[in-house]
Amino acid sequence: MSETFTNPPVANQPLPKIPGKMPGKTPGRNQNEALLEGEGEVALSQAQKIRLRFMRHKLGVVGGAIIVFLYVVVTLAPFLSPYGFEVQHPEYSLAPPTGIHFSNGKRFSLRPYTYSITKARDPITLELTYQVDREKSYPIYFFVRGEKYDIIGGWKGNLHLFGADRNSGGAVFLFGTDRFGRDLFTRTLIGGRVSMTVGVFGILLSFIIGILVGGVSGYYGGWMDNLIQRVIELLRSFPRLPLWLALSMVLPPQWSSVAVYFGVVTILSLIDWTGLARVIRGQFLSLREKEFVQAARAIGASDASIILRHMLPNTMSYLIVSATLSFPGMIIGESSISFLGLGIKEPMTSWGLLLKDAQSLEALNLHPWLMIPGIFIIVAVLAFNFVGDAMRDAFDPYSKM
Amino acid sequence: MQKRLLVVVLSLVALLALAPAALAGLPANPKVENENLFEGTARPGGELILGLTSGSPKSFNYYGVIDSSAYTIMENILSPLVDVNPVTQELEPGLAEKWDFSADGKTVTFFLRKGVKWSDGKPFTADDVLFTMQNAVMNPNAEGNEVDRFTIGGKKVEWVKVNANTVKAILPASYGAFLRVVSHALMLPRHKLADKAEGTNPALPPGSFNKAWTTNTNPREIVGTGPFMLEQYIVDQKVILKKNPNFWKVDAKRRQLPYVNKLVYLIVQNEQVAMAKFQAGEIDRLKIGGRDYPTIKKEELKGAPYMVLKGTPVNPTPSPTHLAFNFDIKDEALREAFRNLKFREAMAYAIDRDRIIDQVYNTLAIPSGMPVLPSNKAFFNPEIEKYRINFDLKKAAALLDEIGVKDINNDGVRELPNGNPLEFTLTAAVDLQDHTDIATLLKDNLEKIGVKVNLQLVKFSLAFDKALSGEFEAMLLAFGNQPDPQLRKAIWQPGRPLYYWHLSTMKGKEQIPVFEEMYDWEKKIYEDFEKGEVTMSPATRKAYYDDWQLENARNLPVIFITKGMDVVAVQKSVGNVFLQKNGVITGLSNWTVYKK
Amino acid sequence: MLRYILQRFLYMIPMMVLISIICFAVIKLQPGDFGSQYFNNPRVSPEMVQQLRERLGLNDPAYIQYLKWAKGIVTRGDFGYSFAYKRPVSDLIWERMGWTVVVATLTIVFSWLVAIPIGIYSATHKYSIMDYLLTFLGFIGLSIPNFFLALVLMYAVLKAGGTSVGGLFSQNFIETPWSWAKFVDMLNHLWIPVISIGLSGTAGLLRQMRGNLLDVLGAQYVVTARAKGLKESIVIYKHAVRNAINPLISIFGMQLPEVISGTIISAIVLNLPTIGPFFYDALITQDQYLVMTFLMLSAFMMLIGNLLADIMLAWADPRIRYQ
Repeated sequence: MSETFTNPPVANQPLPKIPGKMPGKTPGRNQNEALLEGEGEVALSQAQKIRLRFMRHKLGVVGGAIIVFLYVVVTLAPFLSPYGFEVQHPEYSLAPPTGIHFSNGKRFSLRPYTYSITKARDPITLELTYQVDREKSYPIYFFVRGEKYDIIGGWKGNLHLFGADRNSGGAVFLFGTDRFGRDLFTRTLIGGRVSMTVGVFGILLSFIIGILVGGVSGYYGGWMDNLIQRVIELLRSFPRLPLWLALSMVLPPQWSSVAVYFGVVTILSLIDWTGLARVIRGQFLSLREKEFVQAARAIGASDASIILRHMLPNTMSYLIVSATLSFPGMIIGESSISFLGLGIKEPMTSWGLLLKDAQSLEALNLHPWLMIPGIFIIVAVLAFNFVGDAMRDAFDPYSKM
Repeated sequence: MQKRLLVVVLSLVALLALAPAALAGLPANPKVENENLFEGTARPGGELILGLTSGSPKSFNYYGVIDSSAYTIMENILSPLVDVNPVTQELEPGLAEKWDFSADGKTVTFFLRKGVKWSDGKPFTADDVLFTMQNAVMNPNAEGNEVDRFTIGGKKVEWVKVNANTVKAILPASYGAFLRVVSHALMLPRHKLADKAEGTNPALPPGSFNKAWTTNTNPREIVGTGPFMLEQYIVDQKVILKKNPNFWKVDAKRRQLPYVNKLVYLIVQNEQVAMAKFQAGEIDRLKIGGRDYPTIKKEELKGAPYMVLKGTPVNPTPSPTHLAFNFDIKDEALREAFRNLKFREAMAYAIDRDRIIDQVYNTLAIPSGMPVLPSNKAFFNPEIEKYRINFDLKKAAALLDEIGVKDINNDGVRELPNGNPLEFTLTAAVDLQDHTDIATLLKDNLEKIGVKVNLQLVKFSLAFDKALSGEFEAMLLAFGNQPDPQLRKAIWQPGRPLYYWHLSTMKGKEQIPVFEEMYDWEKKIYEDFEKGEVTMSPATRKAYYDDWQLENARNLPVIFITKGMDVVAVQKSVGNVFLQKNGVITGLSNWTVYKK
Repeated sequence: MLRYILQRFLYMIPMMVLISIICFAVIKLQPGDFGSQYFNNPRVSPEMVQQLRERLGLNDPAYIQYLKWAKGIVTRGDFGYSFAYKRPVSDLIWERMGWTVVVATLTIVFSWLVAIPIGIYSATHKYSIMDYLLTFLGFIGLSIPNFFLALVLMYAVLKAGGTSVGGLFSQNFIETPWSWAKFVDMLNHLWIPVISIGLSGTAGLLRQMRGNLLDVLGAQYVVTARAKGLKESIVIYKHAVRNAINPLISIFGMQLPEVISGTIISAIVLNLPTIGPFFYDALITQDQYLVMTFLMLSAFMMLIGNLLADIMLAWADPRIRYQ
C-alpha cells in the first residue's frame, strides 16, 4: 500500500538533504512525522495535515521564507536603501560594489566603514576604473537622514536604515552603481516592488475566470462546452505581442510607465485565462465520468456541490502548480517586455529593466555587478516554484508518508 | 549527340574569346582612385566579411524601396555619375568623366566615361542615364524616388540625350545643390529593367517598377557598374557579392579595383551577436558604439588579431541629437515660456554636455551646436562656436528668475507667471539607448534648477509621429540628415513639414509657409534657404547657410546636444583601413580595402 | 468521431473570419502606419510619404482595407503583398518556414524527451536525492529569463575561445551544400538556442509530469491494480503514466502554434533566421498584410492544435466521448 516498491517508507529514514540548500533540523519533525503517519492519538483537521505536509518540504519552507522576506524588503525598500532611487552620482558612474570593512589589517572598528574610491578613465582603453584609497575611510551610520520617501500606507520619512555620512563625501554602494551613478542596491529594491506586485492582480483575475469557465465547460459539456471552447479559441487568437504593442502606445501618455504596465497586464489577463480554462475543462471532462462523481450524482448532489466538493479538489494540485508557475511567469514576462522596450521605463525601474542594462557583452565583461538584479529574478522565481511544489505535495489528498 | 558536342565546343570557344574581354573590362580612361584612400601595398584576392546590422535587405531595387540594408548592398553594385570622396565628402568624377555648366547655370552637360561596361558586359551609355533618371530617380511612383530633389520651384529637371556618351540636364532654374543630388543617383541598366518599369513598358500599371529586383530575383539579372556584383542571397543569413570584372576604377599603380574577390554581408541584426561574431573572427569590419570601445581596445592591447579606431564623425545621419520645445503648445503659459529665447537659453545652460559625452558615449562624442558637422568643411560655420552655451546651472537659474519663473511657494519647483508649476513632458525614443540616457540626465539637471520634467519614453516611430503632429511638449530627437543643408530643407527651413517645433509656420496640407507666424529670425532663415537653393556659386551658397547656422545658434529654435563619433572595429588582416590625419576613418569603401 | 472532426473543421471557417477581424482591429489599434517610419529618412520627402500612403491604400478607412485584403484571399487565394518587400506575403513566410520548423521541432522534442522520463523518475523516486537535485535543476531552468541565458551562453562560448556564436552556422558554412562538417557546425551552434529556448518549457513540463504522476499514483485504480498483483512496471507505465500524460496533451496542443510564433525574443537575441524576428520587424514597421497573414497562420495552427489535443485526449482516455 505504500511506496515500498521503490522507496522504503520515508518515515523510517532521515529526509534527504541537499547540501547547503536545506535549513537545519526543524524542531518537532519526528512528532509531525508521527502525526502524519496516523500514529498520534489526536485526529488532525484537513488544514493541519496540509500545513504539516507543507512543513515537510524543506525547499518549500525556504522558498516561502524567501518570498515573505522579499515582500517585506520591497515594501520597506525606501527605508532599507541608503539613497533615493533617482539620485545620480556623476562622480561614481559604473562604480563596482563598495566593500564593507571592519578592519584594515591594523585597526579594527566595530562600526563598518567603506574606503574612498576615485574614478579614473584609462586614457587608452577609455575604460572606467576606480582606485580604492585604503587610507581614507568613511564610517557607515545607521538610521541616517536622507532623501524623503513615502512608503505605501502613508509612512513618510527621510530616515534610511544605513548610509554613509553625506557631508564627509563617503559613499556606500552595496551592489555598485549604474551608468549615471545611481545606487544599484537601491534600484534593485525599488525595482522589486514593481516586478513582484504588478502582475498579481492580473493572475488573480485570470484564475477566477479560468476556473469558472473551464469548470462549467468541462462539467456540462455539450453545446455549452462547444460554445465556450469556440469563445476560448477566439480569445486565444488575440495576438499577444501586437496587442501589447498597441495597448502600451494607446493608454494615456500622462500615465506613469508603471500605471501603463499595470493597465496592459490587467487587460491582457482578461483574455489570458483561456489556457487554464482549457486544462480545467480537460480534467473535468475526464473527472465527470469517474465513479465517485457518478456516485455523487446518483445520490442527488447538486451540480455546485459536485463541482466544488468533488471535482475541484481533484484538480487542486494542478491549480496550485499552475498558480505558482504564474508568478514566475509574471516576473519573467516583465523582464521580456522590458527587454523589448515596452515595459517599465525610466526613471522608474524594475528587475527586468535593470537586467536589460546587463544584456550586453560589455556589461558581462566590464560591469558584471549589473547582473545582480538578474540574481534577484532567479531567486524570486525559484522561491515561488519551491513553494508551489510544496503546496502541491501538501494538498495532495492521497499523499501518504 | 553530335549536335550537343558541337554546342559545347562552340560555347567553349565563345568563352575563350570572351575571356580576354572580361579581363580587359577596364575602360580606356579608368578613374584613378584618390590617393588618400590607400595606405600600404595591396594584395589582391580574398574575401571581406561585413556585418549587416540593419537586418535583411527588403529588396535589391535601390529606387523601389526605402531600406538601409538594400542601400548598403546596392551601393556596392551600382555607381553614380558624380562620385563623392569618402574622406573629404568632395565631389569627384564618377561615371561622368567631366561636366559643363552653361553660363546661366541652367544647362549641365555630362560627358560619360567611354568604354564603361555593365557587369554583364553590355556597354554603359546615355540611354541608361536617361532610363534611370526618368523611370527610377524621378518616377513619382517609385517608392525610393528622389524626384523632390530634382524639382526646382515646382518644375522638374529635364534629361536629354546628346549622343551615346553625352547627356544634358536642363534645369528650370539654377540650382546650387545639383551636382550633390546627381551624386545620389546611382545608375541602373536599361537593358535589364526596361520591360519592368511602367515608363518604358506601357502594359504595366504605375508602381510596377517597385516590384523589379525583389529579393527572389535571379542574381544574374542584377547588374551594375559598381565594384561588386550579386552572387547569392541566403534569406536572413547572408548576402554574397563578388568582384565586378568591369569596374572602372584603378589604384595609383593602375591596378583594377576592387582588390577582394568577394564581399560578404552577414545578416546580424542584434548588435551583441555582431560584436560576438567580430570577436570570434567571423566579421572583418564592424561599426560599433562607443560603449564597446573599451572591450575591443583591451583585447587589442592584449594582442588580439583585431583593433579599434575612433574617428571624427563624418556621416551626417543621424543629425546631432537635439532638444526641441513646442512653440505651438496649447497651454498658454508654457507656450509663452517656450517661445521666450531666455527660457531656451536657460535650458541650454542646464545641459551638461561633458557629462553626457562621458557617461552616455564613453567620451566618444563631440558637443554639437549644429546639424552641420565640423568635418563638413563645405558648409560648417565655425563662427557658431562663439555662441555655444556651456553647462552652468547658476546662469540657467538666473535666466529663469529673470523671466519671472521663480519658485514662489518653496516646493522645489518653479512657478510660471500664471502660478502653474513649470512642468513639462519630455518625449524621447526608448529604442535608442543614447536618447533614453540623455533624457534621463537632462531630467536630473533640470530638476536641480526647479524644473519638473516627466519622461515619456516611447518607440522611436511613435516619438516621430508625435513630433510631426505637434503632440508633444518637449522632444529629444535626431533626423536623418545630409551634408548639403539644401537637401534637408524640409527639416531646417521654417514653414516646412519637418520643422516640427513650430508647425504653425506652415499651413496645413498645401504646405504653404505662413510668414505672420514666423519670428524675424525665422523669416531670415527662410530666405537663406530660398536663396541658397538657386545660387550656383559655392561660396555664396555657403554664406547663406553660414547665416542660417548663426541665426540658429543665436535663437536656439532647437538646442543641439551631441553627435557620437565613428568607432570602427577591424581585424588586423584587413588593409587600407586607417585613420587620416584629420581624424577621419578611412577604409569604409569596400573597393579600396584588401586582405593581407 | 469522424463526424465530430468534420464538424470542428466546419467551425473553423467562421472562427478564422472572426479571428481575422480581431487581428486586424488590434493591428490598427497601434497609432501610425507603414508610412510613418519614413519621415525620418534623409531620402524621403514628406510629400512622398503621403503619396506612398495613397498608393498602398492606407488612406482608406480600416474596414475597406480589411475587405480588400479578405477579397483577395477569397477570390484569388492571395494573402496580399508585403509593403516592405514588394512580394507576396505567402512567399516571404514560406521562405522562412524551414528553419523555423527545424528549430521549434527540435526544441519541443528536446523538452519532451528530457521532461517526461525525468518527471517519471522524479515521481517514482519522490524525495530521493536525485528527485531533489532534478527538481532543483528544473527550477533553475524555469528561473532564468531565456534571452538572458542565451547571451550568457554566448559570452561563455566566446570566453572559452569558441567561435560558434549566434545564428545556425559559421559564416563559411551558410551557403555550402550539406556535408558532415556542416552538420557538426550546425550542432555546435544549435545547442545554445535549443537549451535557452527549451529549458523553461522543459522545466515546466517536468514539474507537471511529476505532479500528475504523483496524483495518479495515489489514485484508487492504481492501488487496485497493485493489489491485483500486477507488476510494478506495468502499473506505472500502462496505467499511471498514461493517465498522468492526459493533461499534458492539452499542453502539447498549445505548443503547436509556438512552432511558428514562439520565442521571438530569444530568436532576436541569438540572430536566428527564423520567422520570429521577421514577424517582429513587420509588426514594428506595420507591414500590415504580412503581420495579418502571419497571425492567421498562427491562429490556424492553434485551431489545429486544439483539435489534435481533443482527438488525442479521446484516444488516450477512452471514457471521454464527443457526441
